[in-house]
Amino acid sequence: MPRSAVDDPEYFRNLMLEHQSMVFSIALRILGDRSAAEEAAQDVFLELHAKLGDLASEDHVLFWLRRVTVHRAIDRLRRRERRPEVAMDWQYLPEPSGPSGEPPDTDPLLSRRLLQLVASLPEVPRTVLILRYQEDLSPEEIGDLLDMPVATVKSHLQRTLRLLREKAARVLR
Amino acid sequence: MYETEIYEPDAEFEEALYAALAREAAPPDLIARVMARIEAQILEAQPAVPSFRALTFPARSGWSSFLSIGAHAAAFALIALVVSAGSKAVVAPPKAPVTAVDVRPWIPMNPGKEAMGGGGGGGAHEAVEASRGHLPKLASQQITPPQIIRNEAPKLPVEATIVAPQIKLPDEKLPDMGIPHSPQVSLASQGPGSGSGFGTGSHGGIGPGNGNGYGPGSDGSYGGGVMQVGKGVSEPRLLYSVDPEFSDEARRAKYEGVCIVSVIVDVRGNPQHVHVVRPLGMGLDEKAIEAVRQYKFKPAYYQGHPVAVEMDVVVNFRIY
Repeated sequence: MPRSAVDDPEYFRNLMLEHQSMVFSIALRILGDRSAAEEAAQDVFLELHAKLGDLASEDHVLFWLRRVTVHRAIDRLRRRERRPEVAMDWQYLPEPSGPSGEPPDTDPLLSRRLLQLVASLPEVPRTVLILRYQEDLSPEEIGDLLDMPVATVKSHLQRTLRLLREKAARVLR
Repeated sequence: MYETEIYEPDAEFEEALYAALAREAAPPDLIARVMARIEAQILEAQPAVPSFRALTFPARSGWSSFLSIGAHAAAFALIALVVSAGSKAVVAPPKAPVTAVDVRPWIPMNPGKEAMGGGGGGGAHEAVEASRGHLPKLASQQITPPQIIRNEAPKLPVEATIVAPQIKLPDEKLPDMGIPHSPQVSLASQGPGSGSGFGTGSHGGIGPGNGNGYGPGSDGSYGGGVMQVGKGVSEPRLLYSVDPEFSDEARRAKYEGVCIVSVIVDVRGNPQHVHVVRPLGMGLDEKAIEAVRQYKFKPAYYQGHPVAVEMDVVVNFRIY
């Protein structure tokens, strides 16, 4: 059971070890910027440190982390849109690496193109897609997380997938 | 279901998406940075000044209470003493009303053994100065004040007198009564004073004073008023003086010079009626008066008795 982070720093550290990849990846896909994603991930874990006593279970922690990460990342994105920084160049997006369970037989070129296409999506369809294919959540869970009707999630997914397929077909031909 | 109908999963494309959207590894120092920020937050939340444990003392002994009260009382007494002593030094001595007049003609030729003081004056509201004449008789009491005789045959003639001890005063051998050293000889007059008598004073005496005596001063007798140093009047001796301050204006202009201040040293040795005779300007006159007012003298003596004298004080302003 989760305890207060102040009571048990080791438990909090283990939670961070377990979820840091998930939190960072969601933030990275939404924000498209590693340093911004890292800052967002730090903010999320700081919030977790303060809130840990209120979270009832491991599942609750996981759900809370996903939800807060998405919201904080979108907040940052909107802040950045109000104060635009340098234009993003997806050509220099670093290759996924490390023990993230990437299948070895995946075409890296296809993955990079798909990432670029995902990054070009508007923020809500992009978030839905990330939660569906990065976190492998069901449309119901996504709707729950984003306070969105399941039908909306599914229509987002359907439209986004069709759009991506068309674009991918054109780009990868 | 409706949703499943429009939701068209494409296994191959979804596989590619799963692969492309695989989780990224977090930066290796993410946890360390979070921990550092948490520590910083904790440090910020702590108060900058550590809280103090309440000090506990044993019950106070009677001795310490006594000593404490005594020390406080002594401190208050010391403060009161300093304040009262300081205020004494600061407060200027009360100024007695003094008129600067030329008293030399009124000085007796052979003063008596008793202390001089007092005087008198009179007049009859006349336009011209009192006329020159001889002095009336000196007596211990006055029945008739000196006056110009207008009734040649009075029914009950009483000789006019002024109240003074039997001393020798400068007199004139003239037929009519008057003031011996008066320059006015053409018209018979008692002078512009009041209450009969002669001169500019009042109350039936001779001279500018107030009373039935002779000369400046009041309440009869003679020898009052302000004297001049010399002719038997010793000089007042300076006991305490302060250096005059420079005014800011004069200091900026490097202005130096001598300011002459006239002062009447009363019988107690205090300077009175301080005024500038030769001004220097640039605010130095006021500074000179301020300084001379704080002087303290041993009074001038005449015939063994302290008298008020008028004298000049030279205040030298110099920049070294």
